[in-house]
Amino acid sequence: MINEFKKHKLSYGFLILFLTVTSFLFLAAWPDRRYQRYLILLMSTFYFLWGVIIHFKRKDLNLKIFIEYFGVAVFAGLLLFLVTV
Amino acid sequence: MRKVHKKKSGSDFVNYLSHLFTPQRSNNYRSKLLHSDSLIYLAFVSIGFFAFVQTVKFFPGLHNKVLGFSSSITAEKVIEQTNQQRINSGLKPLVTNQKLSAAALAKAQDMLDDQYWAHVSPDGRQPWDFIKEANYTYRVAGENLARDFQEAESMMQAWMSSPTHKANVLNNKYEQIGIAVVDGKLEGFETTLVVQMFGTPQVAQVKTASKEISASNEVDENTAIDQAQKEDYKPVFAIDESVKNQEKAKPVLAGAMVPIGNLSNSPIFTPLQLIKAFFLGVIMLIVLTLVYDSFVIGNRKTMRLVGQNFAHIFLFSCVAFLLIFFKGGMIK
Repeated sequence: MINEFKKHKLSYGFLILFLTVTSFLFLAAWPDRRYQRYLILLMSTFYFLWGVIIHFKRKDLNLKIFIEYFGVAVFAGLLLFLVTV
Repeated sequence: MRKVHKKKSGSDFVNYLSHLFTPQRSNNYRSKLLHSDSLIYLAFVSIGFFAFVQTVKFFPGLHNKVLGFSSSITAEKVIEQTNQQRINSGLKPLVTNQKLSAAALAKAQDMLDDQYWAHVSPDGRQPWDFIKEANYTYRVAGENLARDFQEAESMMQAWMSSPTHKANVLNNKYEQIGIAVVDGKLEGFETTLVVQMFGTPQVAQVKTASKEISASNEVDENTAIDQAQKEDYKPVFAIDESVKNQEKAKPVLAGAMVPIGNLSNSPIFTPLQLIKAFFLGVIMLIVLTLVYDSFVIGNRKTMRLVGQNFAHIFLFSCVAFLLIFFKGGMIK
């Protein structure tokens, strides 16, 4: 896991930066729940695309990985969406 | 034979747990819990739990004791916080007006009676209808609503974070304030409603105007209403109605506070707390499985084509962080 991180510092750095900024925007958006939901959508979409692009560039993208990132992104977004209902 | 059967069942269970968490041949060297179909299953379990909490409201005995809001908000605290914000912005503090408080109480009771959460009631009653019914003749008036907050501080923070609510709190045209803090059942859950009404009596405005222009310039009621509509403001109610309503709900008018801690049936959890705790448990399970999966595969040096565990861990950590710090409460 650590080696993987070291190998793709730039990609992971971008992911960490984006998710950190979005997380703080999410908290700052309170109490506007509609804006918070837009941020959840943005976060989930970004994560899915990030995963697909990373594996595409590494030439190891397959349907299973595609579905895995889609599932993880949707699941994470779903949990956050439900608390804003 | 029976003993053998039991042993086999126990062994099956251990094998199943191993299949669920440990990357091995049976799960294609990826913890079964991290497979897409398992995530779908967990998503349905989460939705099911959320739906369960929402349906608890149909079981009055359970939800009154277990789920609801135990709020420490009092009218005095709301007024104190509001005036503090105004003083910080160089404005005059507002004076409590009993008619405005009565209007706020009538509005809160109306929301509980008709089960709505809005500035305008389902039968079309505007906030200024409540103000008029309380015999408060206003020049300008306004209304802020809040629910599901546990402390006055976080409620005020929410109002100040919203430009329209902030504009009401910091409106220099207001001179008086009325607050109602009412415990009751809204949309199936016990909660605390806060209605904040602002106003400036027509008389006071005329006095001010007479100093600036002339005593003959009177402001008629239509002008007042137009002004109120333009500024999205609203009003009060009838005194005897307020007395009737006080018996039905647990009103907290300025100067007549009921500390919520004294109520015997304070609920144990809020619905939000329960949902957050469950979701955090699910996330913890996934994150720990991801860490274990990475550890086992790292030690075995097994090659496999799967998503990046580190990225998943970071994403779920962000979600856990947001769940922990997500604040409840709604304003209108």
